[in-house]
Amino acid sequence: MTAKRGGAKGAQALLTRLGAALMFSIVAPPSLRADATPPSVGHLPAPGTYTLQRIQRVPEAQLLDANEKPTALSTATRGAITALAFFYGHCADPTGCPVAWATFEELQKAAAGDPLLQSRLRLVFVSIDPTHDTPTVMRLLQRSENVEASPPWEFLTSRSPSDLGPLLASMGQDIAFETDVSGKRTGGINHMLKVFLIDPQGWVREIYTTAFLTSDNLLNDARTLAMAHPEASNRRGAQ
Amino acid sequence: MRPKTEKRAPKPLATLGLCLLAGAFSCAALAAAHADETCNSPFMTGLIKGQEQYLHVWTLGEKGVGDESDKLVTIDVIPGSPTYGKVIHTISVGGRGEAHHMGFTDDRKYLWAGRLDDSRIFIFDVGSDPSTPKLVETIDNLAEATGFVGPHTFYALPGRMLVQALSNKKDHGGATRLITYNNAGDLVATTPMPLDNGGDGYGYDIAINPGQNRMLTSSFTGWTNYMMDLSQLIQDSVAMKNFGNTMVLWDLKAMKPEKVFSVPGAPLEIRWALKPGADWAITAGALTSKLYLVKQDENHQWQAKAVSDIGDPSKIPLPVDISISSDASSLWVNTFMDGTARLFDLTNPEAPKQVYSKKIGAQVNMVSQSWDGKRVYFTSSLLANWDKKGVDNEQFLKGYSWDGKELKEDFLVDFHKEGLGRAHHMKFTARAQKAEAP
Repeated sequence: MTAKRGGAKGAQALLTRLGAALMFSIVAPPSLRADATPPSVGHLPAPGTYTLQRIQRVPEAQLLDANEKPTALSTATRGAITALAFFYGHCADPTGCPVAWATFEELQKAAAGDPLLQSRLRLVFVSIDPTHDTPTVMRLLQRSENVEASPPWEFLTSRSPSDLGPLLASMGQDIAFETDVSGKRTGGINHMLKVFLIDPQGWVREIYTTAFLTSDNLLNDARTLAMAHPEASNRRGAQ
Repeated sequence: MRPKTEKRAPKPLATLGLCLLAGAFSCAALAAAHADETCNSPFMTGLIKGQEQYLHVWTLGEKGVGDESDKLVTIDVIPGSPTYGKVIHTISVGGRGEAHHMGFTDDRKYLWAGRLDDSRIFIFDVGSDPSTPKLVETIDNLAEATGFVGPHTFYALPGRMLVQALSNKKDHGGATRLITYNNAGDLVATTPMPLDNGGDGYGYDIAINPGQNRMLTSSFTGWTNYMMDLSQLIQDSVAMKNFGNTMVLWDLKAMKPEKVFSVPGAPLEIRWALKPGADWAITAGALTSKLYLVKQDENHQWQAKAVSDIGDPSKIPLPVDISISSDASSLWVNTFMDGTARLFDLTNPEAPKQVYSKKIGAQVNMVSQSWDGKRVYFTSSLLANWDKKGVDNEQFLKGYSWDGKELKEDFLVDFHKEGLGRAHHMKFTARAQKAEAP
């Protein structure tokens, strides 16, 4: 059974957090809700009965963690079973970041009560807007999304768009800056929502776009990886 | 002329960097669509619900025609454009290797195009400037790397391209595999077509229903047959037995066959109904001239069954390509031998009815329709050795308007007069993709 998506809740929650904490001049548009028909994926095989393909290696990238410390992407992913998505803080596209946000909240909640995933699953958000998503912003978001006994949810940013570019290109995560009629950037960043499931060795094992992104689907695959990698741990430096 | 042969070199695809395009895209422009212009992978972004701007034709080189090389031909299909209906760009890839089908990557930025004879796969950049595609990579080691040949269908998965090979290097018969590459052109996996539980090991088309976690494949024939002259083939009783007679229902996630259906007579293109909740698919048997429906029965068991004849099967009209409307209410079916396009009413998919037909040319093979169904394009070539001979070997792209009652020809590109070759598979692009969320 497919869990109901909490896209609207996640989207509003994101903006509320940011708005309250950072006094961003964001006015949530009235249409801000996940009004696109949420996908459902039925007839999934039982966890552990199938093997996910090794699609590509996660490239190395130098990022910044929420404490403004340089951190390699591999430090945030290796050793754990990682769900990674690219996002930006004031994304208001109801089919974009809010969907990822809601899915990750569902993942975190489900994994907290799952012995297979509680100590093995790690969630990572990487900002595609380092200009606005500073480590301070990341710190606030990270604090708000991490509670005791839940799988960790790490928020990473970078020093500049140019630092981020090779990572996005290698992961096939295209972005495009919105502009108004005069060519001035509006602040919006169009990007196709993708969530990457990464194994402890740093292989991308599944990629979810909106046609296939449900928390049930992702949890099923994460459990499959956890059964294949009992050594996985979501504690930093455990690998 | 090249081909540039960078074996599995991912670099050209990894050089895009940040896509700093001016913001002509809507948010939804980069969102995945449940389906594309009625036949592409549901994992592909950039659904063109409006006016397509460019039409790309993967064209077989033909001896005595132009440079005799296989090429990607781009035609302007923007109404009102000074070059509407004209060839605006060609890119020859060198040699004649039986150019056949193409498929976009999930981001619609790259177009993979295969050749059935020499098994080369050409990757064109159509995202940077769709009016002038650029060859960025050639995969020329498919047979060596996998043992399988004849890359036919190119079907986007997130971050990957699923390729259905038609044959194998060992005996050039129909036993084959699905080949998965990542978008950088690296080989990820090969998956055998089933040989048990009624499977014949053959392959042809791929069609995925993500909501059901289901994939369907169909079956054609091996290299020996598809490279044989058609008149010789049909007189070879042994060779004529070497055609696929099955479709396979797969667990997509697990990439495991779940059920093999008996579908006699080389079932070719597969189209899932795109209407939400309509979990059925349709295909055409080339040699039996029948439409087959794949659907769950009252016991929720998937079944395939013949639901309609196509023309007079005794005359072997040879149904080839099909194109389903976005609302799953109708289906274009081309019959190669009589050069006719036939429209079937699919309101009741259990009993399709032919409601219209029009002769397009001496021969007709591929058909592509716009999302709104108002524009329908046809090309002529089936396979180099199966096309008609002499004056009947017409080679064209024809663009038509469809008003619900009549096809009206808007333009014709004569691929012989233009020195191009044999016109085969078509794909649409648009410079600023006016895409919409599903």
